[in-house]
Amino acid sequence: MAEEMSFEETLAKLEQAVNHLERGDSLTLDESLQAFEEGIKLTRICRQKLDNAELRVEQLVELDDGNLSTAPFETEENDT
Amino acid sequence: MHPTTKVYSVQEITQIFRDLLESEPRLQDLWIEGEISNLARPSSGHIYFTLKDDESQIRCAVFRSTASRLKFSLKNGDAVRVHGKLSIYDVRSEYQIIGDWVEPAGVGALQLAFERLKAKLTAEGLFDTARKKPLPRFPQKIGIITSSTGAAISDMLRMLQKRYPIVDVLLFPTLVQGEDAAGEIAHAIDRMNRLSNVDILIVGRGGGSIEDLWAFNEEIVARAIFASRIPIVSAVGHETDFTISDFVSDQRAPTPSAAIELIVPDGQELRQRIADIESHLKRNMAVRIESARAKLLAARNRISPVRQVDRLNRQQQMIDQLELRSQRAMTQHLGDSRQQIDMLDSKLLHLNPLSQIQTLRIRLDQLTQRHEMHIRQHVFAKKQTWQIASTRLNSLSPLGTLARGYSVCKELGGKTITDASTVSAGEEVEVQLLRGWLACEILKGEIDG
Repeated sequence: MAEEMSFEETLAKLEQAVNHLERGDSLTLDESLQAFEEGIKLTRICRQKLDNAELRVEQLVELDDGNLSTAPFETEENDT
Repeated sequence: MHPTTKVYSVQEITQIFRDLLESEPRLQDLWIEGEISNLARPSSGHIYFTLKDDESQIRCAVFRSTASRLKFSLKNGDAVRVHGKLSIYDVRSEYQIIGDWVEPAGVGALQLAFERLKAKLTAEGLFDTARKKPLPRFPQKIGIITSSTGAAISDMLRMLQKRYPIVDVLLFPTLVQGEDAAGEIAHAIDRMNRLSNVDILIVGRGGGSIEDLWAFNEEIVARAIFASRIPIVSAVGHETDFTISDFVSDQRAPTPSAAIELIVPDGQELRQRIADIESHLKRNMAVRIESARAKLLAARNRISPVRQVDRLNRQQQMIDQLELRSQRAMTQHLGDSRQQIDMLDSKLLHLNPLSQIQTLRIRLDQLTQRHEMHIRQHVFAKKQTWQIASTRLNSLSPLGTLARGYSVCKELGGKTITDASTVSAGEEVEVQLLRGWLACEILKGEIDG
């Protein structure tokens, strides 16, 4: 589930987990461990998202009927 | 001639005239407008022409270093505006303009149009900061309106790839210069706004002359930007170029690549932030575990052996009291049978866990000792058996006997000779020694006694 979230959502969840752990003095050790595990998992997902990201570029093409369609866009130079 | 009258050389006169010209600031930094005629471009690279208007004309020289910087080529009949200073050409005592900049005179009209539109749109409130939309912090889909073949798009994509490649880019290719450009750009902005998932728009192009950038100074583009529901970053030309689009957009970027830096976070910074969060999490958890451990220790102390001994002591006391009571009971009722008291006594003893533990410990000690003794005995017995066997084996071995100097005499067939009468003189025998054997011939046989 977390893998399909956007980077922003993942980061927001991560911050939430940190806040939860920080403020949760009432948490049992087990609950705080759960928040901790969730946080560590989210940092991993965030990192993966940054590492595996590949820029996706499309261009819009206006059809004769006025509708828009998309086509892949490649620059002359190879993407690096 | 009058002897006191000063006579000048031609050169001196020219010098005086030059000094006069150069001491007049208005003539040293001037703009002059006119039409080019008599244009000459000798191989030196300098450009010479005459600038004329309806009434008069003036010579102009543009030296090679300046000429190479000019963005358009001059030709006869062009209306131009020249910047430079007035100077004197000694050879002919002609005054002339030394030009350090030449631009088409029409630019003035463009500049005027720019100022007029800017004033009009300012009055209408199109540039109000209050109307500007905030940019999303983490855009997911970036719409770009520019030429698909210009430097701008490849600069922007390169920067995105480097900085924050987690986004999707949707390019709406348009012309970015020429008469149709403004209409196409305005149309693209409108179409992009009808798509649901574009978070931010970049409208722009790379550097060029003021005419090249002109589309971004057109009212139709300005109004399309103002009407956009999606926040727009204007990224036109270089840092020094300002267009109407820049003023009306929600944010001006000095260049197209700078637009990317403005709208997406830096991946490196994000990595650092995630690392910070991670170490923060770890620290927090470590503190938690430490405090839980401390609590556990405290709890354990509450049920520590010392406390157990206390409990046992309390129990002991109770038992003692029971005993005392029973003893008192005993003296009071001497008639009670001794047996009954013994039973009570042993029962009390049984109730005392300390004694029970002691009993168990003694038993355990005994068992351990017995076990060790048993093992020792077993090993000793085995060892003894082995020693006896090995001694016996040694004494039975013929090798032992041979080592002491005895030898074995055998017939050639291998049978051991134990009786002298079984061999006769002249017969060959083998004598086995400890090391090696001898082939012998019997000289004489004799039987003892």
